[in-house]
Parts: sequence; C-alpha cells; structure tokens
Amino acid sequence: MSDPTVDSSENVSRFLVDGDIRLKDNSIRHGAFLPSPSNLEISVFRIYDLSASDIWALAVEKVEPHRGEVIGRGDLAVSTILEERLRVVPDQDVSSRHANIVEWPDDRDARATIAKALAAKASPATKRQASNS
Amino acid sequence: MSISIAYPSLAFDLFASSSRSSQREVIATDDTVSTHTRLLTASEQRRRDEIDRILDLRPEYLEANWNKEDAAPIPRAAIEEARLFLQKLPATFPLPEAVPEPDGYLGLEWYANKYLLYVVSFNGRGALSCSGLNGSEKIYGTRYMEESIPAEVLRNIAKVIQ
Repeated sequence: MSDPTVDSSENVSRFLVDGDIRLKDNSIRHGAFLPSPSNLEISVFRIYDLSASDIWALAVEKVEPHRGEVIGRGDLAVSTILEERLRVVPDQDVSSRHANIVEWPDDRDARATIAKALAAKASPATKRQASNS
Repeated sequence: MSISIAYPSLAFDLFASSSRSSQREVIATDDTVSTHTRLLTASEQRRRDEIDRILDLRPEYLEANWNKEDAAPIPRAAIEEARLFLQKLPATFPLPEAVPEPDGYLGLEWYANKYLLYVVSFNGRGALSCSGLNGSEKIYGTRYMEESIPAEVLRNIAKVIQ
C-alpha cells in the first residue's frame, strides 16, 4: 500500500492557542509555526470538504484535549508550504485529517525565518467565535 | 569597541545614548579595585524598569513543554542576555516585545506588519539568532555581541521602526 499524500492544491489549518495571535491586527505570531527542536514538525489539519463548524469541531476533538482552548486558526495552501521547501506528510490514518509540516532546515535562523513567512501567509488569523464552537 | 557605520536612511540616532557627557559617576576605590558605579538618570531608570517589565515572563515559559507541543524551556541565561542587549540598545530605539519561542529561544520582536518584522533571539549561549522579513526578502543569520550591538542588527531593527 502506498503512503498517503497531500495534494498541493489542498488547504491545511494550524490551530492557534493563547498568545499565537497579535491583538493589534489579528496577524499570527511566528512561534505558531516554529517547530520544537525535539521533533521539527508542525502539526496541521487537512480541511478539504469541511464547513467552518466542522473545522472548529475538529479542533475541539483533536487539539483542545492536548493544547487547551483553540482561539483561532491560520489556513495555508499546501503549495505555499512547498514553496518554502518543506513537505506536508499526512498520517497513515487519513481519516484523522492530521498532517505534519516536516523537512525543516537544520539552521535555526532559517527555520525561524520560514516560520515568519508561513505566519505572514496564514494571516490574518480566522478567530473562533462563540457561535463557531 | 565603537560602531562606525553610515546609514543615510536611518532615522534614529544610533549613538544618542552613548554621546551623553553629563551623566554622573561615583567612583569607589579600595586598595586593589576601582569600581565605577554610574547613577542612572530618571529616564534611564524608567527604561530599565520597562525592560524589566518586558522580560518578566510567565513562569511556565521556564518549564519544558510550555506550549503542550514539546517546547523547550526558555533558559534564565537567555533572559539575562536579552536584558543586556536591551540595556545596550540606543535609547532612541523603541523597546520590543519579548516572545518566547518553542525551540527554547527568547525573541525580542520589532513588528511593523506581517511582512516587516525583525526578531533577535537568545538562548543563553551567547549568540544572537536574527531573523526577519522585509517584504518578500528573508533576513537571517547569527551574530555575536561584543561590547556593543552589531551595526547590522541595529540597521535591521531601524528598518522596521522608522
């Protein structure tokens, strides 16, 4: 069986928690896209064919138990991630809709800069309203 | 060491804080050591207080996994490096925002908009991890503090704040 893939035309969401959004302009802080050194992965979710309420339900089910309240999300076209010479690798169980942004460069300064570029492209954040949850 | 640069578009006087000559000094001397203690002016003290406020991080950032995604802890040494950096920053520069970063760095962020920002990050090992965006241009590289802030770093900050 071949490994699942993510099409470059897809969009993925990075769910955002406290501190990830600048209040002044709803832009996303680069820290939301900067991977931890232990795994060099950024967790995202594939959102094809999902309504807004479906996407927030995904956050409640898959993210909030581990990371706490999701306050918003940043959406990115997979193609923009690939432009940064990164890859998006979906979980084997595609029904989870989970994927990781991987193949970050070894150089920390480069990673931090790519994180800023991704944060800019995903901005402004889509904030979660009470009616969305 | 002093910085000697020419940067015509720089709107801020990089040397304003070091060109003051009227600052008071108290010199205490014993048999073997001369200690210079310079009293701070009121405005310098206010700035130092503001620096302390900026660097007063929530305690959780000093612990591993503070973002619940396996973030590395921010070392106390990184906070002290950031403090030293800000104390050396010319007083004409606005103070940045301190942003803990998941890889265990403490970033000092100057932000104009999502495509014009510059961050100097510290991890307690003496290096300045610099990264930013200037439109579509990516700016990054590691620099080191000597007696003063590298001129290139000041120029990149100035691009954001002017």
